[in-house]
Amino acid sequence: MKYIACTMLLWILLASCNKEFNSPKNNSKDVFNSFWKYTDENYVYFDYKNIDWNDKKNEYLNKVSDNISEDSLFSICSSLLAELKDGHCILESKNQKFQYDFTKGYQTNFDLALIKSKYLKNNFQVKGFYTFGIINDTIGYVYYEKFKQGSYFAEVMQFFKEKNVSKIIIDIRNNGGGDPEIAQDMASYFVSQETLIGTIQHKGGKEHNNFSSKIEIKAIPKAVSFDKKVNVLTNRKSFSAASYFAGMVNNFPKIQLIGQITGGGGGGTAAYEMPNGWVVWITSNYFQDNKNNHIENGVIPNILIENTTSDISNQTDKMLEKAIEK
Amino acid sequence: MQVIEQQYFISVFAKPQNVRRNQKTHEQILDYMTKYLFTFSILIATMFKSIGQGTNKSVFLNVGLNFLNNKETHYTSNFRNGIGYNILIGYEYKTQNSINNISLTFLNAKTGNGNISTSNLLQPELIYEYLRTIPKSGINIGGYLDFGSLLNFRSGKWAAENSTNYTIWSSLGLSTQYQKAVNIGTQKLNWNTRFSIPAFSYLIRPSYTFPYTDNYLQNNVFEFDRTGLGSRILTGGRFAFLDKFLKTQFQTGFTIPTKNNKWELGLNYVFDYLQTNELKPVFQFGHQLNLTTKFIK
Repeated sequence: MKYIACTMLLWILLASCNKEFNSPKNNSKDVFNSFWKYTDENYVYFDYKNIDWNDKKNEYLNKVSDNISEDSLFSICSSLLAELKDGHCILESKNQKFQYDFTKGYQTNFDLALIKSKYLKNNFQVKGFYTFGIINDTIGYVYYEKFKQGSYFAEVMQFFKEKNVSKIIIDIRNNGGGDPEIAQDMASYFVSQETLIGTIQHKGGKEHNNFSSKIEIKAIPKAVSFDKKVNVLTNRKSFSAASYFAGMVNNFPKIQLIGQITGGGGGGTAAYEMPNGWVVWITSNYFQDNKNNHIENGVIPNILIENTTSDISNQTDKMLEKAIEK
Repeated sequence: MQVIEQQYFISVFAKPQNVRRNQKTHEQILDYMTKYLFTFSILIATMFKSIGQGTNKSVFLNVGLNFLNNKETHYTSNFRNGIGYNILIGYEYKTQNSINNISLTFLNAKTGNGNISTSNLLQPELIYEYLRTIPKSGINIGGYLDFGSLLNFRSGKWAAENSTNYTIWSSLGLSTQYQKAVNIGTQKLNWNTRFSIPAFSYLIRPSYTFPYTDNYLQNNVFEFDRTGLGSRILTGGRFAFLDKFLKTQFQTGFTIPTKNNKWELGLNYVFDYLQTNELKPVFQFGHQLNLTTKFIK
């Protein structure tokens, strides 16, 4: 009996030897190391972006001392996170938040009020986050503000069908993203047969190159489909699910992208609590279009054009006018 | 560096409304648990009425508080403390040589603090145990089958793909029980101690950074409507020995019989430790303090 008890006890002790059992301490260096390590083991774009994460650790760890203030530590960790140049990577404490600004250096001038008044002649409908109407009697125009409440797109497409439009403009400028399932669903209105529109791979282990196999994402034809020309308007603020949509339809023969390179944001995030209670979000899986292109740095349109501040103040949306013309 | 005010979390598999959905899922499962508990109570009542004339059979109900320390390394580097409640309903069928018992436990707890680190934990568990009695020793030794799960729903503002986590197990294990009747003055007291440990388990855990099992992701075509997800999760486990899955339990308590010996009332303490060593581990310490009610036929 004693022998059995001792064996069981030994067994438990052996089983309990897991280094993850011991939590890191809540001091500056442990917090920094925990943050660095989680990112190291879960972020997906190190190889794609050619980032030497070990090198970055050495560079930034030197700035962390034992008596550093919380604000300074937050600033150091934020700077390190900024090295990833990824709008989905976020660091948040109780009273601070850092998110990489992927729009810096771009002019993202856009005015929906101008479109409503000048181009739609104040004759438009709003369903959920869709604002839609007819331009020049023949062109269907829809502005989509964020990838939410996507079921209304069926009504938008039905409206365009009834109006027998010759072309559709899908405007996803300043669309910060949302639910990429909606992007897949919207893309499905423009295919006549099941079509591969991209793949997803997710992190499979600690190593930088450890990924799952590719998971295919397909567009499934809808009852109401559109087989004429479609122009998709993008700008740098078309981020995340909006970039997914641009990447999904980019290779469709009758769809062309017009505008600025999108904001990217080509993956899904995982969130993790650090020893001091801060939370870090990092990209832990990624989308590629059907030609295996990453969309993380943005989807480049077929026709590049942008609005200047003076264009908008002069009541002109050059990007939309290009989409009307092409 | 600038904070972008309008932030939308992209997630292909988990939606931005993930937190709300998590809350809903948590509530739905809690609702299921209540229904199962009710159904199980009826089942126990039926067994109680029909099985084993002339033998010692009893139903018992434990209700108590649960103090948890949980560390789900998919979410956090820290142990999170929490408190919750647990309900156990069971049936015991005892002969001179053996004890059979079956019990269903539900645990609901909230761990963490603040806005960004809270989690709702649900732990339903069904255990069947068979023990052989060693004559005149008060010791019973045997084995058990344990079907359980620890479901961890992150709440607070955590919209991310890894907002849901689970540990689902089916274990075959060893257990031992020691029972002794003690007289304190004129009052009889039944003291009971039990220890259990799994030997072999079928363990289901999510993949490295995802709420789904590896085999669902190996399907190669992602179904946005999550067709077949349930069955793939259930078949997505691995066989695990003690080095991969440990769920050991120690409990001790006493009951005091009423004058007619039909009822026993008592207190019971349970220490429960759970650990997985697959990919990203989970650790959980549980301390339960229960009020016990036993009805003997």
